[in-house]
This record gives sequence, C-alpha cells and structure tokens, in this order.
Amino acid sequence: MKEMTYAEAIRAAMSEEMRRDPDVIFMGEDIGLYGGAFGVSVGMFEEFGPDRVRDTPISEAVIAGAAAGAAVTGMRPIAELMFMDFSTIAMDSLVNQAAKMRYMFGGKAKVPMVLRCPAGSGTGAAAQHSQSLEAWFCHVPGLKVVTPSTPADAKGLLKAAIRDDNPVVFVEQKLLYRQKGMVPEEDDFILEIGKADIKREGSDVTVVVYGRMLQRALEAAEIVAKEGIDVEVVDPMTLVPLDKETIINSVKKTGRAIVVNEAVKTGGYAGEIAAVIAESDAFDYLDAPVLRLAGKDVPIPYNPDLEKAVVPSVNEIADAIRTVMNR
Amino acid sequence: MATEVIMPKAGMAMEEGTVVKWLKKEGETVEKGEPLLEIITDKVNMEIEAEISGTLLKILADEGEVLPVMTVIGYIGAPGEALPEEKNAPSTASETVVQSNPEAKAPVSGADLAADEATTGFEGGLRATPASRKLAREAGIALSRVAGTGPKGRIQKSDVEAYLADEGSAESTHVSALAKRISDAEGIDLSQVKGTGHAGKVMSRDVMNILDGTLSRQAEASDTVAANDSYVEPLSSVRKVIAKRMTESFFTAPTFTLNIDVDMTEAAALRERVKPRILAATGYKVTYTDIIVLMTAQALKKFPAVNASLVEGGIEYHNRVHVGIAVGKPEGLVVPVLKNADQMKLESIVSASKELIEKANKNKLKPDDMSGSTFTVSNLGMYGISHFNPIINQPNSAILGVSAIIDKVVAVNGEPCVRPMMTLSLTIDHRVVDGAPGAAFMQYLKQLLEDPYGLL
Repeated sequence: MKEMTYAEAIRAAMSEEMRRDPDVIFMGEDIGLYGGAFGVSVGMFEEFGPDRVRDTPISEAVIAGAAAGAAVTGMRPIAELMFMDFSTIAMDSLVNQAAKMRYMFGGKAKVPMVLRCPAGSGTGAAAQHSQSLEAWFCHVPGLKVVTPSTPADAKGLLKAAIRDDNPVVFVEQKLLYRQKGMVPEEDDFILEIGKADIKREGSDVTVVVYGRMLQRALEAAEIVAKEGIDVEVVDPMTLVPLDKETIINSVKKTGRAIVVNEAVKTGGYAGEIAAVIAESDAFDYLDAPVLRLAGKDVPIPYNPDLEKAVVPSVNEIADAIRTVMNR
Repeated sequence: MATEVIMPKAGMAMEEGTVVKWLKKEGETVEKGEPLLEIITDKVNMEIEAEISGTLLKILADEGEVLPVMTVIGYIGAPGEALPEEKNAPSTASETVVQSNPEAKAPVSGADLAADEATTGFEGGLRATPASRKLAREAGIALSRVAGTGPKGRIQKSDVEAYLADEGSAESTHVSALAKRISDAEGIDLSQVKGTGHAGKVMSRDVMNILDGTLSRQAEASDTVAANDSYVEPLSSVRKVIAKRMTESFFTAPTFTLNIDVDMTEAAALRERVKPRILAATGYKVTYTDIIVLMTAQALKKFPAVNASLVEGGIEYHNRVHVGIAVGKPEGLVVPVLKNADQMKLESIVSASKELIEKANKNKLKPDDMSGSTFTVSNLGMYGISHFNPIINQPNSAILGVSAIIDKVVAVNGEPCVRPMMTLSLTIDHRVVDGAPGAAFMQYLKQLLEDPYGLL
C-alpha cells in the first residue's frame, strides 16, 4: 500500500496496464507533452513515447471516433476528454458506434475502449466545464459506466475497465484529483466492475452515494452518529451494471434509503437507484419514503457561492437523514 | 379547504399534550388569534389560538385526552364545508369506527382488516409505511388500531412494535389508548371492565361508567355526613402536575436540609448602591432574590456536586448553571429558568428574571422557559417566613429556600448588635450530595453574601 492522490492512482493504473499490454494506448488533448490539463498523465509521454501517448486535435469527435475504431481493430485505447461536458461532441461515435457494434455484429466485434471523463463542479469552471452527465451514458445499453470515489477505487476500477472488452465510460471527478488515500501497489490489484462497496456499516439508514458526494455522506454520517443515528453508506462504484443486490440488501436491513449524487435531480441516476429500491423486495421493509438528494436543476453557476449551493452539502445530507428518521 | 387544528409542539421536549378544555364549540365562529382551546403539557398550561378565522367545524379530541404533538385535533373552515378524511389514526380514530358487537377477542380476519382500514385513515386507506404494513400483516393486527407517530400521522414500523408490546403487557385485552390512560390514572383494574367496543375492546366510556358508579357511591356516602361543611374543587391541571412531581420528588429522594444564618448588612448596602443605576439601565428594581441568585450561581460553579442530577448510570454534573426561580401564582407554582445564570452580571439577572416573572404572571411562559434548570431558588421571605424545608425540584440535586430578612440582635465582636439577618435553607438529595460538601457550599454562599466584594 502506498499513499497517493486520485490523479496519481489513475496514472499508475494506466502506466501499469501499458507496461503489461503493448496494445494499450492513450490519447487525448494535451495529455502528452503537457501532461494533461489536470496533470494526470505527467511523465507518461516520456515513458511510453509519442506512438502510445498521443496528443490529439481539439476535437472530441475525433478522439471518440479514433478510439472506437482502434478498439474494434484490436487495440485497447484509453481516450481522455478534457471535460465531460464535451462528450456532447463525442456522442455519435460512442452511442451509435461503440455501444452498438458488439450487438449488431452478433458478438463478432468487440470494442475494448475506455473513455475517461473528468466531471463535476467545484473548480469555478462555470456551466460548460462542470457538468455531471453520467446519466446520459447509463441510458445507452452497451456502455458500462464507472464512478470511482477514492484513489484505490480509481486504480482498481480503471485497470478493470482497460481489461474489459466493452466500451467503459470512466467518470472521474476533477475535485477528487488531489484527494489522497492508501492504494495497493500490486500489478494485479483489480476491482470488479459492477460491484458495490459498503463504505460505512450501519443499521438505521442506507445512503447510496457515489463520486465526490461520498466524502460528504461519510461526514454527515459522523454528524448524525452523535445524535444516535447509525448510517450505512453504500457506494455503487459502477452505475452500469449496477450492483442491485448490495443496495437492496442494505435497505432491507435499515428500512430507509437516501440516494445522493451531484448531477441534477431531474432525470438523474439517483432516480434510477431509488426506483430499483422501490420495485425490489426491499419495498416491504421501507419505513420511510426513499429520498433523492441531488444537484439543483440549473446550469452550474460561475459565482462561487452559488456554485457551492447547487450541489448537496454535508448539512443537507445530514438533514435528509434526520428527515427519514422522523427527527 | 378546512384548516387543521393541531396539538402544537410548544417546546423542544414536548412530546404529548392534554386537551384541557375547548373554549369553542363545534359550529361556533372563531377569529384568528382568538383562544380556541386550553392544553397542558408536562410543564405548563397554555391557550391555543386559532390560526385562521372561520367556523370550528369539528373537534376530534375530547377534553382530558392525551395526544402526541402534531396530531390533528380539529378543523376550522367555512360553514358546511366538507372535512378532509381523517389524516391521523390517534387513539380517537379507533374509537370512532367501532361497532357495538361485543364478541370475545378472536384473531382478526382479513375482512376485519379490510373493514378497519376502509373506515379510517386518509384517502384510499391508511397512511402507513410498507414496513409497518408488513409487520401488522404478519402479526395479524389491524393497522387502524395503531396510532401513527410519523409525519402526518403515518404509522411507522416502530408504532406497530409499540402496539404489539402494549398488547402483550395488557394481557391481550383490547383497550383504547384513552381508556387505558383513564384506568391507569384512576387505578381501575381493566380485567374487570367489560368492553363494548369492536371485538370487546374496552373504550373510555366503559371505564367512565365504572368510575361514575364508584364516584356516585362515594358522593352518596359523604352527602349523609355533611352537606355544606366543605366543598371539593376538582384538581386543576397545574395542581395535578405539581402533585405528581412533588410526590415523586418527596418519595424518591432521601433529603435533609441545612440552615444557615446570613448577615445581610453588606448585601443590603450593595443593593442600595446599585439600585439607581440598575433601575436606569433596565427599568427594574434590583431585589434581594436577584442578588442571592447572582451569588448562588457563582457558588454553584465552585461546588459542582450541588449543580448535578442523578441520572441512569451515574451523576450528571452540569457544566452550565441554569437557575430555576420558583414563582407562586394563585393557580399554583411555576418555575421559570434563568439560563446560564453564572455568566450573567447582576444587571442581566435583574432584567432576565423580571421578564420571566412577568411572563409567568401573564401565563405566557413557554415550556422551554421552564425546562433545563440545574438548581432552584425558592424565596418566601416576603411572607416573613423565618425558615422552611423546600422540596427538591427534580432532577435537581438541591434547592435553596430563602427566608425573610429580619432585624435581630446578634453578637458582633462580643457586643449585642442589631443586624438584618436572613436564613438560607438548602435541601439536598443525599443520593447525590453528602452533608459536608452541602455545608461547604452554604458556608461559601454565606461568605459571598456577607462580603459581596469578595467576588471582585
């Protein structure tokens, strides 16, 4: 185990896989000589050279198209979009090509690509560089969507994503890049895609939360613990395929559920998780309505105070927990 | 849309309240802000005002009924307006739906369940969580018998669990919540009461019938002895609370009282000295009680044992000093609390305590004004009392009785001398405080009062 940041864990995962498998390549805007807009890939250009660490033009359509094409012809590309917001421009290659090929060619084609998407607000980058758009990709069968919330999870899941034969949208949160944590150093440290993790065990309320909201949920859990409320925090880690079993079992144990994410509430994935709980056999165990706590339905404001106000805070999470406990 | 009248949550600690008296009848009109009914909490009697103007359409809670806070107890609206379906399932709800078929208690059939649920609750059924429904289904009980404590009277799993626990303890006798409270209060053996409610459930009227019989027999007996020598005034709600709390305190705490005589010469001088300044600053006259409260609060900081409570598992020493001040009123005693009295200057004590006493006299005290005391001061000096043994205001561990300041001849430096003397009486809960520390506290308090400048 070694302490590293979330960004370093991602770099370690990519570098290890590139050393292990010559078919793994990495491409994106400014990821080579410059080391990435957020410094994630510093040193990789020097280690692997311009053929395997490729700077691309400023065209997300090219990045996604090249990655899908390379994947279907035998490479294992990792493509980085500098901001998830610009996945809009990469959509056709991703949604109509990468996600469909395995199905439309009757399993003869596989598309082992990873699209790394820095997402989320909190950096003062305003409405076009701060969005959390994971729900869009969850809505497209054929794509896997992974949302790690700690450095160790980021490393283990990214290695799994690179080795996966299907297109994986890997959602990283910009605000997590500097977060530190203990990360296993072994080459074979892989976390299974589609497996949730119980980040805190408890008996009274289940909080399902992913991404940078995890830390806030854990803090809120500590606050309400002083009031005698024992919170279980479940991190799905992968949104598609979703580990329904872990979530449902947790809610059956606690009888109460809150789903928290940073993305806007309407049409967001928190709603999907809430619905999974409601239609499962956890229904008969519910002792309170399932609550969603999510970003406000507005573009992320540039004003720093407003930017903070539109996503769930520690206190709001604690209040939601008290609400379902009728406190 | 008719507006709900609810049992208010009048203080942080308030969980239930008793309807004492409705001041309006069904069908009468009320103005916004007009007193509608009187309730009592475990601490205080208060009037509930109408929140809107209109007609009192429906009264859902009988006088004497004890209900959880936020329970709907009535509706105000336009005359003839349709009422919303009952949202709560409090104790009354189960009473309103009973049919009079006193059959022996049998396991509830599915049809019973359906009938019960159809006649109570909100639109389309009963407000209950899935978890509570599952438990009720498995236990074979009708949810309409369960009082919901969740939002909008929603039945939670814990409510069903509480119901099941109650049912077990009542030896499976079906008893309405109100009937149970009345019989508990009056000491009636429920197994002797024949229930006339649904499935033989014992209703409040059944208990009242028995009670009326007993009372009228007693009345007959007393009538023959003396017709007009005395009269019985029913216990007011305040008196009932006082009776209960004092009895509990008196019979649970082994107490003893320490008396000490204090020479108030210096305290009197101090009072005269600061009187004009405090009057100018606060508009109030500084009283001896204010000075005694100031000194007591300071002394309590030094003697934490006297500023403590016996709690489950140990003795709770309070870091803060909240001094309760006993205020006598014609209806009975109230004890408003001066919070953080040890942090206050004399001037603040004067204004804060006068405001509390004014509120007390106008019946405006809120439960929060009367909770949280860590020590109590009771002053009967104005009646010329020379000393007395106050009863502790639980969960305090001690109470200070203040008697009159009386000019007495005392020996000062071997010479007879007239001095204003006052007796302080400290009643102590011996479970918490021993004699020596109690005496040391009194000695220190005496010192402070006899040499107030020692505090400087």
